[in-house]
Amino acid sequence: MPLISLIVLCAVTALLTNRFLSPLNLTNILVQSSIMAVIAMGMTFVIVGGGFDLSVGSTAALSGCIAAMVMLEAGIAAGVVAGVVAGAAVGLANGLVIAFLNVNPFITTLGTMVLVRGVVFLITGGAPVSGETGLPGAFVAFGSDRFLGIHYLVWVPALLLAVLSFVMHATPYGRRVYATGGGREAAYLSGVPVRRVIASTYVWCGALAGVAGVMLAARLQSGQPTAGEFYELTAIAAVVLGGASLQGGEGMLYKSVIGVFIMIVLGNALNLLNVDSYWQRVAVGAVIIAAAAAERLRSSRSQ
Amino acid sequence: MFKLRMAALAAALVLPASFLLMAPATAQQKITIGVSLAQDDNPFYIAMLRGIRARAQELGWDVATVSANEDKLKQINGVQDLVARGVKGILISPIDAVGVNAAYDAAAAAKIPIVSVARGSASPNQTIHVAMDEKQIGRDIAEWTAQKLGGKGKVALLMGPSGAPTFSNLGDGYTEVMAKYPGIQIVFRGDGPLTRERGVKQAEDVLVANPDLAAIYTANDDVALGRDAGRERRQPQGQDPGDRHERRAAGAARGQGGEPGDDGRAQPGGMGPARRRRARAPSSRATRSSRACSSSTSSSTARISTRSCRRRE
Repeated sequence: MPLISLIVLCAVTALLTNRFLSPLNLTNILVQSSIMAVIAMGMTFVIVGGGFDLSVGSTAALSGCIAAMVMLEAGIAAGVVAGVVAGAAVGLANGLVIAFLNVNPFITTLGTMVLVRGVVFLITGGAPVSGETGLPGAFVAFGSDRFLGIHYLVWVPALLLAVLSFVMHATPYGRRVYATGGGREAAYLSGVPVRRVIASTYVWCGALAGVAGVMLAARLQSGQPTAGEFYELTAIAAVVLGGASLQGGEGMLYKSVIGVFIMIVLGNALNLLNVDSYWQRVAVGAVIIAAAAAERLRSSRSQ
Repeated sequence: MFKLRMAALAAALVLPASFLLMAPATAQQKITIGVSLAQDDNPFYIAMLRGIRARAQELGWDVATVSANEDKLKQINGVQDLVARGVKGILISPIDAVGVNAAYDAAAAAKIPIVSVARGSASPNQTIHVAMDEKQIGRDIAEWTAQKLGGKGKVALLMGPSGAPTFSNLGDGYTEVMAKYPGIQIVFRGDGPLTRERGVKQAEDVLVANPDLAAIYTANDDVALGRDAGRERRQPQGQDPGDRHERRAAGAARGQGGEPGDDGRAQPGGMGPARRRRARAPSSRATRSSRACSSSTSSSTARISTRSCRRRE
């Protein structure tokens, strides 16, 4: 169903403007989707596990800034690792509070969203991090150059999607995540360590937000303390557009990525067709509601 | 029921498409230029876009607009979309001097000139940067303020987003001049988005922390209007006609008939001496005067609006 929406959207846009299917625009759409796709994959873990994470935007900003700061001192590899580890650490903190202290995920991650943003401003002094002469050239190139005609930034979610789909669908761990999200009580009674599983989904989400943050730093050629605002909402919308249930237990990584494509293609199409930016806000909001409603109707019919 | 569901499904599929159909029909042979705004809800950029559209109309050009709303990635994406659309040139107000370099690269790769307007960029691919002499504006405003204050008092700065050089330049020019006046102390310098809410909040907080504040310098009309609201909530006060004029101008620049609060304040009757007396500061500080001004950047020319500066005694 999300795929059909995407195809219809693409077909209509292609009919309205011949620019849409140009190679330049198609690669643009891929690179524009890449960072959000990584965040949405992390969000899929949490939502399938029955949770919710509002802190991914702040976490991405934190990881991007830490990656940039460490990179300027100790090289690219150390910077990338530090960024991803920082993201995972935020995720772990979220997961422990939610799973072991039984605090509502909405409130917990709302708290970390604000707290982490504060930490980002503290460590950066509010200013973008790019050093005297900018971030290392190879890192900046990673954010703009291509491999086999496709941007490096697009290869990251492509590889992650393959690996993480395996984790979600072909390992006992993946089945435990679905089982926990589908019914925590039943999962617990059948021997699933539900607390650890729930906490782990937030670690995935934080780490992937960290990866996205590092990609964002490469794309923006700097660590940006204000980056990533409202990304959590776009990511949640994309995951729901991809057919995941906010009740948990339902959702697929690749469908969430299609959800991201729907959001990005819609924005791209509206820009190509020169739709007023105020109307764009109306359109994006309406499409999120309509697509989610259609998805609910479809699934209630199939039951 | 089944029919209803099918209808809903169909609506969900058709809805995105129907928004696309709202696009204005454009003649393909016409020259189109692209504009990438930093925000589409700030009076400065609304006025700027209006100016660009007016001039483009004279030239017979079309204008395609994208707005970043302070999201750097969105600005890069928007410029990429303009390039893909085949515009002949791009005007951009970059949110960040470094962060949106990829937007300049995208334009340069397609050999499309990209001109920074108001805010500038460090990108080597920037064709040209059209702006005011921001530091000088900051200096002029500081000089004016210092003279009005008689060279002594506490002042606060409400600047713009931290990564945008425009606002650090305004603030640096201001700070540079104020350093020459030993009697003047800058007690607060805050960065933040150019919104009225933030203006209200920071002004309120600064006034609570520094009840004897003599002047506030704000980077932008919207922050200033927010600041006014913040101050008026604490201390109702009269206003001179010049001030009302500025307020109306700012309201018009916003593209609306004025702000909700404006009607009450703009009534001609209530601005007499009686209200002024009521607004007088406590007697212990009766000699102190408080002024505030903003560098009004509502037109593309460099202009300091002294109209927006006011005096309260």
